[in-house]
Amino acid sequence: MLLRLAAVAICLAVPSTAAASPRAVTVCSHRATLYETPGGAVVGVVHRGDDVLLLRRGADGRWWRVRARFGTKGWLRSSAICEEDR
Amino acid sequence: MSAEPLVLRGYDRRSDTELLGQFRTGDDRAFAELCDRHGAELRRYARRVLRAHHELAEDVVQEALMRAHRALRRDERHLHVRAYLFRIVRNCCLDELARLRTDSVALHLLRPGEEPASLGDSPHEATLRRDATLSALADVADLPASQRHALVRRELDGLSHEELARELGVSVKATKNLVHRARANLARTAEARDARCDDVRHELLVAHDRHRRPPMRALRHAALCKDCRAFRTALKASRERLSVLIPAPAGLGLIALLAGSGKATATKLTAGVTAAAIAAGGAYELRTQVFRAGAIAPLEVQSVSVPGGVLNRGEKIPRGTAVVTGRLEVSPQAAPVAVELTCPNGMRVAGLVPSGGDGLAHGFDPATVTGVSRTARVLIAADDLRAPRRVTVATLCRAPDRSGSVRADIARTGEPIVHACSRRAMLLASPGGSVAGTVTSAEPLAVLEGTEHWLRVRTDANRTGWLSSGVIC
Repeated sequence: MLLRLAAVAICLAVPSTAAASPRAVTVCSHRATLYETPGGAVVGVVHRGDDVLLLRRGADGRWWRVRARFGTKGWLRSSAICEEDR
Repeated sequence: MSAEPLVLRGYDRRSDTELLGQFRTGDDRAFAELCDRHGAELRRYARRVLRAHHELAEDVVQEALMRAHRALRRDERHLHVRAYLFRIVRNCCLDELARLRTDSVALHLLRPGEEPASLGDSPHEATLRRDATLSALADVADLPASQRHALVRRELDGLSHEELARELGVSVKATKNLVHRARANLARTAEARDARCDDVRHELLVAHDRHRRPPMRALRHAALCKDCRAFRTALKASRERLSVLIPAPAGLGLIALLAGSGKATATKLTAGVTAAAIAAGGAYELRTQVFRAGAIAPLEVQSVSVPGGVLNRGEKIPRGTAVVTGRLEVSPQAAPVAVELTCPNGMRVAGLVPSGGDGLAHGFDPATVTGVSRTARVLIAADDLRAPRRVTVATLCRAPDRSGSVRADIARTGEPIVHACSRRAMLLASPGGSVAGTVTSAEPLAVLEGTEHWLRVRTDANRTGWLSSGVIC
């Protein structure tokens, strides 16, 4: 019982860095590039108004792993996402 | 006094089939005679299969005979008793070996400081081994019955060709032929299974376009791969529509040559290659152009695979590099349009070239792997279109260097290049940590750092992660 309580306490104490579930956001940049890895090979392009699904956040907070609605997965700069969604 | 005839066990002259028939009518002594007749041979066979655990042979044969006793009485089919008993002993041996391999170790047997996990394979190694075993079993199961029987009896049961020939009632030469064909088929199936889906789809597409039978490798792969099978079915279903939408290739080639860039020479620019873009909503006419080394770059390219990182529009394309563009008219529809751009022979996909001005979101299908795929599958979003629009998509292609990498800076950095030995290896986030992805044996991996047991590697697509040094060739 004590162990269970301790586990619950640890879970509550550790802040989660990733989104609990994928959330759709809108791209605000005129044109944004999707990368295989942050700054790596280009794998896609999205435009202002396009919706993308946030999968997880990069360690430094400047990149998001996203899935575009047409299926491509890649890393997108946080600055390309609308401010209210960041 | 019993009226049944007295038969000395082991000297019964009844055939196996006769004994089986009497056992099925309820005569247990008939089964005992079968056990006596074949028992010694079955135990020898079990010892051979169990090898290091030959002391378990007696138990395994007992277990096999118990199973046979239950099964033969229920089953009314005619069967070859001796072969059946051998088969059931073999299965029991394999079960026993599997059980020995997966048995957990009692904690009290561990030495001080020893971790239970250190006694066995890591989870990803176990996954890979299980994957390989399942694939091998599936491949053997798919062999024609005669080849499968010959191979199993020869490889697993250790029968000589003469014994095998007697069992099958054919010549020795014929058994050698069967075993040889089975081995060759297994090798071809493994090759087909390991082939990349986009390469196979390209072969299917080309064969479909030419009204020819696809290569055997593509057919074998499609038989094993659900997605490629669905692709082939979609191709067949769209044949009639394609024949209406796509005019003769020669005519299109001429049109494309006329419409193409006049500055590019015919030897450097391959124009007018027509293919089909398949989408849920239908088929599209796709016109591709291949700009080879020495031709004028049709678009600006920013990539790690271009010397200096940038190739400006209008500059000459460097050696070992090509740009493949595809132009098509996209109609409004809910499903994304998928087009395939194939790199010239010997080249690999080195990254998407975002084409400006079209305003349509697009990107690689996740199945396209930079540095490995020869065909880039590009998905185009068409759901917010209001009217049909002409779109250009492009991919950069590059011939891998001697190390197998398509990165232009690989020679400068001097990073050693390695490959995974197994068909697929797990890329970990940290040594022994969580799985961050997979790499294939075809992917060149630059070694960034390493310890005795772990190497941190980077793929051509700039993915980094840790690999166990045991999976590196």
